[in-house]
Amino acid sequence: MEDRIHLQVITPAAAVYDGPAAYVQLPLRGGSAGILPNHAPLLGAVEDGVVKYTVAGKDHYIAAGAGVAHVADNRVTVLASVAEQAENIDLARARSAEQRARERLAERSADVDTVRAEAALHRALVRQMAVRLMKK
Amino acid sequence: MREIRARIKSVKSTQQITKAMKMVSVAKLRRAQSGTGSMRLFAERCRAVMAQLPAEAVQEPLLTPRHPAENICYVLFVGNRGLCGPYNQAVLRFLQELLAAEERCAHVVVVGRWGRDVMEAEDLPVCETFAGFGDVPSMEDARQLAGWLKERYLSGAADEVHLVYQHYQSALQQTPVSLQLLPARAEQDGTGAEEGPYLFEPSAEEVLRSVVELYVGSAVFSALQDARVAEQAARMTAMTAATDATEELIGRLSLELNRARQAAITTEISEIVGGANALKNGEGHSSN
Repeated sequence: MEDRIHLQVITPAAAVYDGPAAYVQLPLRGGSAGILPNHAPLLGAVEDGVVKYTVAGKDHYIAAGAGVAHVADNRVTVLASVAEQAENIDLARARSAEQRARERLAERSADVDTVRAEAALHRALVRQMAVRLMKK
Repeated sequence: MREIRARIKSVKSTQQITKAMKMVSVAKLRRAQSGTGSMRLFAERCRAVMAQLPAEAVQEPLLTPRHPAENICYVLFVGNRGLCGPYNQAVLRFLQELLAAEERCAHVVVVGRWGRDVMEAEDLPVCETFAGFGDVPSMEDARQLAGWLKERYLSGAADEVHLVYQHYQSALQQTPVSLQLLPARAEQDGTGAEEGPYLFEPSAEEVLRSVVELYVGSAVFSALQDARVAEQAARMTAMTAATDATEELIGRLSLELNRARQAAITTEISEIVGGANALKNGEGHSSN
């Protein structure tokens, strides 16, 4: 399949990916959505999750934070606060982040910010998932 | 002479320190600058997405100006340390001018470790200080600060939030600027909807909320980063000037030292010559 989509994954700190893709799968808030060439224009709210894209028949994964996706004219732009290529994720760090978040949630005391701890836990799980998917 | 030598020694060690600080700030400047690369692209794309949203969906509290806006919150970004020339003082003065011109009720949030005592002496209405951010700010820092500011805005404690920081123009020039963060101004520049009708997943409101969230977070991040880059640039300039000044001072002091030494030697020689002459004369007398 020809790589006809131009995919950009951008965070304020860096452009994580900028290049061609044949297929992009986005973790939208209403459920995951696959984008093939000539997709209709779409604006979507992206959840913390794994963005999957296919280049030259190979699958790649990016762990992305919440943001928006803009699909138009065979260009897919994902804007996220954070994003990381699966190859660059430090699995040990993601695991320890998960552990910390779980401990904080287990405390259940008043000064634990539950929403933030849950978000941190979710992020750690997403990063681990990206690595798992890559190794499969 | 001994005093001059001691002074030269102390000036030299000062010079070593300023040189080292200059090197450190050069390295930090480079590191902080490398993070700003995709900032502009990101903001551009954010605005592009906002422009595509239908106007009737733009009913987000973070975007809607309040009338009347009574409580203004200024977020002042200062450095973590001093020794960077007029950087901190200039932005503080800029803020004071803003406050003086402001007729509405205003309060200040300080970001940075510098000058707690200075602010106290200046009698600024500081209500909160964030001092835990490093020299190379991360998105996590920005998100924390943005979240706090948003809460303050939504709870009604602040009706407008402005960021006040030093904008990095070049290594030699930084200018204090003020930027309105909340309510964010949706820029409807008329270029929207060129691609035809968009699908919204799950809904236009959700997309809008996400993009505003991103926009506010990235605006705080860019201010944080801009302020840090400017700080390091200011420190680099200040330390270069200080190193040059010590160089000059060492030159002057060595000149003084050499003069004093020359004078001492001359006195010594003339004393010896005088003594020798006196001896010679004395011998001449006794032999006669």
